[in-house]
Amino acid sequence: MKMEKEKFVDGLGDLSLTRRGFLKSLAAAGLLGGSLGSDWGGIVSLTKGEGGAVSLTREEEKMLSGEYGPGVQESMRLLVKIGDAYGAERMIPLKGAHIHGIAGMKIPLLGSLSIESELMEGATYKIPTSIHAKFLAYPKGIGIPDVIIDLLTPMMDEAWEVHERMGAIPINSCQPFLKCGEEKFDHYKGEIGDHYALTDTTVVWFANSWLGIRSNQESPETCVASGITGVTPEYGMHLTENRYGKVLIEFEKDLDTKEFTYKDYGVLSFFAGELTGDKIPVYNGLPKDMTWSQAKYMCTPQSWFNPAPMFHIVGVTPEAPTVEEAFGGEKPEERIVIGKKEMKEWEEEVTTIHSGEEIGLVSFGCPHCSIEEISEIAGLIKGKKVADGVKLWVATNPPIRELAVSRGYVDTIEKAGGHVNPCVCGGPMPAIFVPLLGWKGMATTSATAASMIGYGFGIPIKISLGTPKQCIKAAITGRWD
Amino acid sequence: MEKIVLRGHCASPGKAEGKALVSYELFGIGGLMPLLGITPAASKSLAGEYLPDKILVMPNASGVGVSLATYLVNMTKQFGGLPQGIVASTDFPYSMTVISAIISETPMVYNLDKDPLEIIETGDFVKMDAGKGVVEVYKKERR
Repeated sequence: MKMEKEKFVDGLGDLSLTRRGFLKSLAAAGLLGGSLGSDWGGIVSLTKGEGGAVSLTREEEKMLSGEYGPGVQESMRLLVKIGDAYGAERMIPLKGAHIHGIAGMKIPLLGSLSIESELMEGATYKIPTSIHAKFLAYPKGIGIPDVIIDLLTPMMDEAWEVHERMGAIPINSCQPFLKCGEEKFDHYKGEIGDHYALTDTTVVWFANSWLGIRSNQESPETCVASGITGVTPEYGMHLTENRYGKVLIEFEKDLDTKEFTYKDYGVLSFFAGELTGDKIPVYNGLPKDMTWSQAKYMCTPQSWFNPAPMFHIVGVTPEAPTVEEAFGGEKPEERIVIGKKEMKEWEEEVTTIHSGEEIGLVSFGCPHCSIEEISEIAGLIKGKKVADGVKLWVATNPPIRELAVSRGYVDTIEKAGGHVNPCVCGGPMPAIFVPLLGWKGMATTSATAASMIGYGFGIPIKISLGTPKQCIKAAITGRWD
Repeated sequence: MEKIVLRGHCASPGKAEGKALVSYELFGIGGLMPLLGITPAASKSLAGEYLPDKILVMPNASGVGVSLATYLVNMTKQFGGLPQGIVASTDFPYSMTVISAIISETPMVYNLDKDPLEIIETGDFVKMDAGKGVVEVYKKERR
């Protein structure tokens, strides 16, 4: 934005109308010292109202004027405000959106916590819009007292249904993109460079980094507004210049990244986020054959400290074929080298269970399990039994569960005493149940689950982090090895 | 009393005044909790401080609680726990602070002509007219 200020001072003549619009708002803000004169009158493409900067198409103007009803109007009004605040020049059309179903949920005594009901009034989703995990809608019979389920599940169902009625796709997942090799489930047609409006950290970080599709970290409200209007203001991650890496992360020779399991990717991402502040990290030295399942563990942990919704992996992610390209030709601002020692210390920092301690819950699916992971879990538990008093949960999205049913994995896991739960949260929410319901410790593969509740929020919780093999062993023996 | 005027970009319009509370580290707006004030997740150095009559001055946002930041902010608002206004030093290509300020109707100015972290100290009196992008700082008296 500083650059634009300088441009203006240099000469007004070169500026496009939309650029002028933005400058007008700077002038209104007093930034330009009132030196503008009065030549603003002829600009017609500005948004009406607060002296904004975003230029709108005729269609967008119609939405703003209320021609398509109050919901569309409120949605557009919100997006224009956001665009003005960020100095966006225009709205860009989107390929799709991902919304938090919680948008519009009413909480007993507090009522609705946000403004979605105004945004959604009489509106439908204009672009393909998927819904996020129905994170607390646990089924009965998996070990949670019925009274809790009777309270939570209807509340969530009601909120999610509102969006379904508006035309949203009920994928109900923090992994709406999970491709499982079957075309009918593959509703995200996003290609590198496509624009989306996405919410939730896993979804946004994964989309930007692994898929190369562009989205800002949207709030539940702005995603709903974008789903309804089909546009978003052009700022932040939609602009190429904001997508380059700033900090280079490399590895000591003593650390073999080829041996990294899900938990290692999570732990690395969590602390890399803390070390990189608000700058996009570029990992150089992770295995070139990294899988989709591994990459999804690197999303939410980074977001806990670092708001920049992206990371690059040199030679792996689409916008980082080389180190130079990942940094856009610039030099890294900082270089961080991570060794075995750091990884070990970090893992110990987020885990609180030691060898021999009892386990009450083994939870997979943070983020939602891929078919590859469910297949691994089923293979490990086949023919064995979950120990008495231990719960084994696997969370995934409905299409993946359907596939797992058809391949017999769900049957294997259920026969062993486990549960494959569609839609629900497999990480932080189960982690909250542990202290809340007085369960023994929790075992997980997810650094998100391990770090967020204990390390992040400071809620004391017994939790351990391990490979799927270690976790399944804990489920069978009831103890952490 | 020494008065300094800063000018910046309006993120969310409105007028506000109050004593400044300065965070020198990244501040996670999603880490505000109703009744608890600032949690360690939002800012380790300011944990336990209360915001209601203050103007929050911060460099940029940390990532904490980003997905549901606006919800936590709105919930905090219902309990009267939000600051009067927010002054932030840099532009925010990534954070949710601007969105949170707009949705909760908290006045906010950012990207100022001088770095507010160098000018404003905790305890200074700050008056802001966010719509005009003006932030007036009345320095506390030095002893």
